[in-house]
Amino acid sequence: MLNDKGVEEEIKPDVKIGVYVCSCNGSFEKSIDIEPIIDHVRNFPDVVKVEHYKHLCEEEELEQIKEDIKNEIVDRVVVAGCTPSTHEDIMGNILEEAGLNRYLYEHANIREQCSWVHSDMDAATEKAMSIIAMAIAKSRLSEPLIGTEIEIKPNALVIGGGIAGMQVSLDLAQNGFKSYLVEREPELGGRTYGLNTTYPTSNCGICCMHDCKNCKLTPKIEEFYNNPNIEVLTNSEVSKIDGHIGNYAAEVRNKIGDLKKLYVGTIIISTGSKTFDPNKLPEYGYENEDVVTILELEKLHNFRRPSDGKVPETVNFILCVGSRSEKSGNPHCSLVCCNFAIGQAREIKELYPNTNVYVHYMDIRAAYQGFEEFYAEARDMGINFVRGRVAKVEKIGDKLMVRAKDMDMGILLKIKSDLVVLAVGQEPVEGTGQLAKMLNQELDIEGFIKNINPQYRSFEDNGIYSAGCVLGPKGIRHSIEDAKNAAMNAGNLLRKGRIRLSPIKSRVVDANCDGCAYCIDPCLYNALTLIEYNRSGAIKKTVERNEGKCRGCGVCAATCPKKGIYVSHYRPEQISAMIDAALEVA
Amino acid sequence: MTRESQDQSNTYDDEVLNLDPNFKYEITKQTGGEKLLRCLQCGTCAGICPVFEVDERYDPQKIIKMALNGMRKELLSSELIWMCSTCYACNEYCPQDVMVADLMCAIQNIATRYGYPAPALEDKIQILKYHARTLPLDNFDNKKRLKLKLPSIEEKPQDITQIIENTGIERILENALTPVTNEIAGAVSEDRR
Ligand code: SF4
Ligand code: SF4
Ligand code: SF4
Ligand code: SF4
Repeated sequence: MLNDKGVEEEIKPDVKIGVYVCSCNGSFEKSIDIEPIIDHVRNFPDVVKVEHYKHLCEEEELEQIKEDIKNEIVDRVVVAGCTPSTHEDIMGNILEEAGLNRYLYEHANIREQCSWVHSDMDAATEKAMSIIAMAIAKSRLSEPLIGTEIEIKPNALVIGGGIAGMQVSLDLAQNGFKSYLVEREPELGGRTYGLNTTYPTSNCGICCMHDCKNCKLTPKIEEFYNNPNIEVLTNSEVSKIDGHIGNYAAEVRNKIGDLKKLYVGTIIISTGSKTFDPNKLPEYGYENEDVVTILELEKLHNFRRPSDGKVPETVNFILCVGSRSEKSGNPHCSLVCCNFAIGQAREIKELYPNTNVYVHYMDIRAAYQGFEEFYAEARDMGINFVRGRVAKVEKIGDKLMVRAKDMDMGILLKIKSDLVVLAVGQEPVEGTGQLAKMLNQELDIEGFIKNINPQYRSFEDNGIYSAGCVLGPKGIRHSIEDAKNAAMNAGNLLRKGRIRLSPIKSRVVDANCDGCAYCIDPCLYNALTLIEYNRSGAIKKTVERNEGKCRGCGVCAATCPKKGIYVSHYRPEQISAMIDAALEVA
Repeated sequence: MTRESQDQSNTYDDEVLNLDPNFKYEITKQTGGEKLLRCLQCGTCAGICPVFEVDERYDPQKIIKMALNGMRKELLSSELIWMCSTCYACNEYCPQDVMVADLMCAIQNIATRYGYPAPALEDKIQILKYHARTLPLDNFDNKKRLKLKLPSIEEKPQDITQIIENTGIERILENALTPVTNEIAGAVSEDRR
C-alpha cells in the first residue's frame, strides 16, 4: 500500500471475509454449477464463511448476514449474485445497520455478466469463479471510507423559462426555496406563451380556462413576477458554470452585456425543444403563403387564408412533418402534434361548417385521457381523416394541390386546397449539446438530454435535473409533470442543507506527483488543477483535486505513469490483486 | 395453388398463399433491398410514383407490404414488379430512406433468378448482344442518314457481346430455378451460406 510518503508498505490484512453466493431463485443454476464454486472459495485465505442462498433478497437471508456481522464472525462481505446497480445500495445499508462501514462490501456480478450471457456450463462456472475470486481479492484490501460532508447552497438556478422552468420555480418557491430563472427571450412562457388554445380542454396555453387571445400579462406570469422567491432574468443566457453539487457558480449575461454571478446548490435544465423547420422538406411547398405550420395557424385571424384573407373552402392538415422520419433526422414521434392538429381542425369546422377539412395521417396518436374521445368527436363533426402520408404539395393557380395516397382505398388523391397546415414536430434546440457538455449531462441519440427511466436509480446525484421538452418532445401537461418531479428532487436536495459526498474520489500522492499534468486534460469533470507550492525553499509542482467535482471515474489514475494519483476503493494494489486472482483461477 | 385461384380470393390465408416469413430477409440480403424493414407503410412512395398515377395496380407501397407479408410466389411471379420506371422519385420522397427503386430492382433480381424474368428479357438481351443497341440498324437507317448528310454508321457489337457474356445473365436465365417454391428458396439460401 502506498503511504502518504509514496512508499510501498506491505499489507497483511487481518480480515474475516464472508462470501454469500445467491443463485437468484435457482435461476443461475441452469448455467453455473454453484456447489464446486462454494467448495473452492472455502479455501481462500481470510475467507471464514461461505454460504449459498437461493434468494438473498429475502428478509431472513439478509438478516443472517447481519447476524454474522453482529456476532463478529465476518467483517468483510462479498455477495455474488445480481447486478450492483440494483443491489449494491441495499447491501451497503445492511452493513451499516449491522454496524459495519458500507465500503467493506464487495459485489460480484455473476448474473448479467455471467449466467445470463453464457450457455456453456463449464466455462460459465469457471468465469463465475474468477469473478468471485476477484471480489474476494479486492475485499481483503478494502478499508472503511467516509465521504466528506459539504454544504448545499439553499437556492436553485433554472435554465429556460418556458412552462417547465416556470413550474419548477413556482414549486421551489412554494417550498420556500429561492430560484433564479434565466430566459433567453424577453418573455417567459416559451412556446406555450404563444398558444391561444390547447386541447382537449380548450384553455389558453399558459394559464387559465379562457380563450383570451393576445393577453399580455396572464395570471400565471403575474404570480411569477410578484413572487419574492423567484428572480426572473429575461433576455439573459448562462455563459459559464463551474462547481459541483451543492455549490455551483454560474455566470449569466444579459443582452446588454451585464454580467451577474449566481451561487446555487442545484441546477434545473428546462431549455425546451424547437419546432421543425418545414423548409427542410421542400416537397411540402412551405414557401407558399398558404402553407402554414400549426403554430402559424394559431395566429391567423379566424383561420383565413394569408394570401387573400378569404375563408378557406378546403383545408388539408399534414401530420408528422419532420417527425417519424429517418430522413429528417427525427425518428421519434413528437407526441403532441396529432392532438393539436385535431383540435385546430375542429375549430375550423366549428367556425366554418361548410369547409372541407382533411387530416392526412400515418397513425393517429391520441393517447392519454380524453384524447381518443376528442378524436372520435372530430370524426363525428365531419372531418375527413385520410390514412397515408402526403407526397407533395404544389401550387396550381391560387390553389394548392395536395397529392397523397389514400391507403385504405389504394388510390391517389389530388385535392385542391385553399390552406395547407403542417403539423411540425419537435427537435432539440440549438445549444442543448453545449449546455449538456458544460454540465456533464448525457445526450440521447437524437440530441435531447438523456431521459433516464425513473424506475432505475440514477447513479450519481450531481444536483442537476432536467424537465420538459429538453428531455424529448412532450405536451404542456407532461412538461409540468416533469417540472414537478424535478422541483421535488431539487427541493429534497436543498432541504438537506448538507450532504455527504461519496468517498470514492481520486487522491493525489504528492510525493510521487511531479506536476507533469498528464492527468489534467483527460479528467472530464475538470476536477484537477496544477498548482505550485514552496517546499523547503524550492518550488514543488503538484496536482490539486476538487473533491466535489471528482466523480471517482479513475481516468486520472490510469493516465498517471508515476502512481501520483489513485482512486480510493479502487487502489492500485486492489486492482493488481484482482488481476492476480483472475489469472490464478484461469 | 395456382395464381388464378388466388386472384379470385381476397383472403390472405397463409396456407393458401404459402406465406414465407423469410422472404423479407432474402430481400434484405440482396443489394438494393437492405432497407426493406425500415418501411413504415406511409404510402408516400405510391403518392409520388408516376406509374401508380396512371395504373393503380402498380403500387410500390403495396409491393413492399407483400414482401413484408412473405407473399413470395405472388410477388416474384407478378408482372407488376416490372412496371417500375426507375424514375427514383420514391427514393427522393421516402421519409425512411427505404430506397424503393433499388428495392424494386432487388426484387426483380430475385425474380429473374427464380425463373420469372422481365417480359421479353431474353429477346432484348439477344438484340443488345448482337447489335449493341436496343433497336437493330438496317439499311433504311443509313439511307435516312445519307439524305441528312450524316455519315453512315455500322454495328460493332463485339465489345458488347463480350460484356453481355461476362455478366452471366444468359446462364442465369438458362439455369433459372423454376418454379418458385419455398423449398427451393430454402435450398438456395442454404447453398449460399
Ligand atoms: S403526434 Fe401524431 S403528428 Fe405528431 S409525430 Fe406523432 S404521430 Fe405524427
Ligand atoms: S477520478 Fe475521474 S473525475 Fe476524479 S479527478 Fe480523476 S479523472 Fe477526474
Ligand atoms: S422508381 Fe419506380 S416505384 Fe419509384 S416512383 Fe419511380 S416508377 Fe414508382
Ligand atoms: S415511402 Fe418509404 S416508408 Fe413510406 S411506404 Fe414507401 S417505402 Fe415505406
